[in-house]
Amino acid sequence: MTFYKIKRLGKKLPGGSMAEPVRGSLDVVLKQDSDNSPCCVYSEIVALRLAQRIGIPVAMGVPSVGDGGVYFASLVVGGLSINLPNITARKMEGVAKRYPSDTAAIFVFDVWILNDDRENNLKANLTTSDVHLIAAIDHEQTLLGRYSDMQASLEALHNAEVPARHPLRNHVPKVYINQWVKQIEALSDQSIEDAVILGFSIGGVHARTQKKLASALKMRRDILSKMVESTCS
Amino acid sequence: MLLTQRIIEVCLISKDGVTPFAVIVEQGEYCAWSIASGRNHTTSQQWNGHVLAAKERRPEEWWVLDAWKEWLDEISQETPGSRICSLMKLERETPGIVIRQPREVHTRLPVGAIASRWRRNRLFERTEIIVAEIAHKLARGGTAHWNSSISINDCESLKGDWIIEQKPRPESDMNFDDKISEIGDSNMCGIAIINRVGCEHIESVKDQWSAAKNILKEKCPCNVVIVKNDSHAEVSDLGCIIGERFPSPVSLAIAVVRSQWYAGCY
Repeated sequence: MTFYKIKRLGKKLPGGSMAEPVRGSLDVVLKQDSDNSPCCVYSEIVALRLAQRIGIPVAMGVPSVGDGGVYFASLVVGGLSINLPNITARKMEGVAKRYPSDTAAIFVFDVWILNDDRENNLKANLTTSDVHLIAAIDHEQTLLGRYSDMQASLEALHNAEVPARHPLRNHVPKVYINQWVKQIEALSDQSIEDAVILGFSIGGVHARTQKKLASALKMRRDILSKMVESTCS
Repeated sequence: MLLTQRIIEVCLISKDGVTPFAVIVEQGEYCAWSIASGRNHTTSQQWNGHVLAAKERRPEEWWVLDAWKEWLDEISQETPGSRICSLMKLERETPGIVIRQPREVHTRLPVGAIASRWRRNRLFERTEIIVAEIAHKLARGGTAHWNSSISINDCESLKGDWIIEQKPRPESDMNFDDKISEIGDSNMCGIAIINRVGCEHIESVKDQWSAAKNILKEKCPCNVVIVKNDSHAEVSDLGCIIGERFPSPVSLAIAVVRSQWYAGCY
């Protein structure tokens, strides 16, 4: 369970409810499509929907609308009064030792969605405190956002490209990797389609592209163990 | 030869303002860092009080400080270009954190020395540095030091005889009786503050202190008032400042640090 940081705790809502609801707001990082990242919001939403289906420890988020258009609001991880820094590449071995199953999940998931941008995009507690805290963040450069051109990203996904520089590739125990490969392999076609084909367009990502992505992910699911092996070798 | 060093501050932002809590000092390939914790970088320390003060930050989250130490250690080993990328990414993607580059310094000192000085002078509330130093001296041996020669870090020594008055918080605006009451009810023994007392207040302070002194000494072993005893001021038996140098009851700690700051001691 990952907790999220409350930005402001407001007054209790009027009413006689037993739970006595309280208004509050959470800290988020707002992400938006840009010239360099034209399908950022879509990639974030779909990566999260896929991760939730499997149980990958990723930071939660929600699509949101503001003055500047559509955003992906990624909740700030930790539930701490002072935010945590990101985990650098050198610390990945330590993360894998402390959280072997979680890191295996993140690694296998990254291979599946073609995420080669995990360095500095992971929050984890590596201190002497026993707080269990690990969460993957930032999936902007995955799926259709792997390259700045959506078609190039789709092509890479179809071509079984793997995240060759993934910082966890040499650190996660194989036994955990195999478990998570099986979890993803067990995903049904329908489940993948439900996560990827949203039924509406986001940014420049329309139904046709979403269907192509679902197809690529189904193909990658079927060869996932080989792709993971190829990433680790 | 003077070398140019770049100072980078990592700050916490809140509605109360911007609070620097770590510093990175760069000079070419050399890099050093420091953070607002205790002196020993290898052990866990509480966040410094003024860093915690804003935004209801919680002291039990000391381990987050350790996480930041590890992160600083990591990026201090990166190349300057890579480090600036990491800092920009940090600022962009970590709410509540902002990076500032307040200035460049031209010095002969190594980056480690500048980082250490910056930590002492910027990452801590200056009053806290002095009161912590004094409290440490007083707490040594567990008895009150009615006469003590005080030296603040490597800055100008504050020679003389001193008596320390402890308060719950520096610069508290409670009246004296309230302060005594609060100290008496708590078990605080680590915070001390130096008070200047104006001539017009001497008699009342003497009376107050005389009444409270024994009670305080029973509950907190180092509850005393500090007074400087030199040509400009006298120390009374009851531990009050008398002299024309002390026109108003403001904190001497702040005044001393301010004068040293302007005199270029930092």
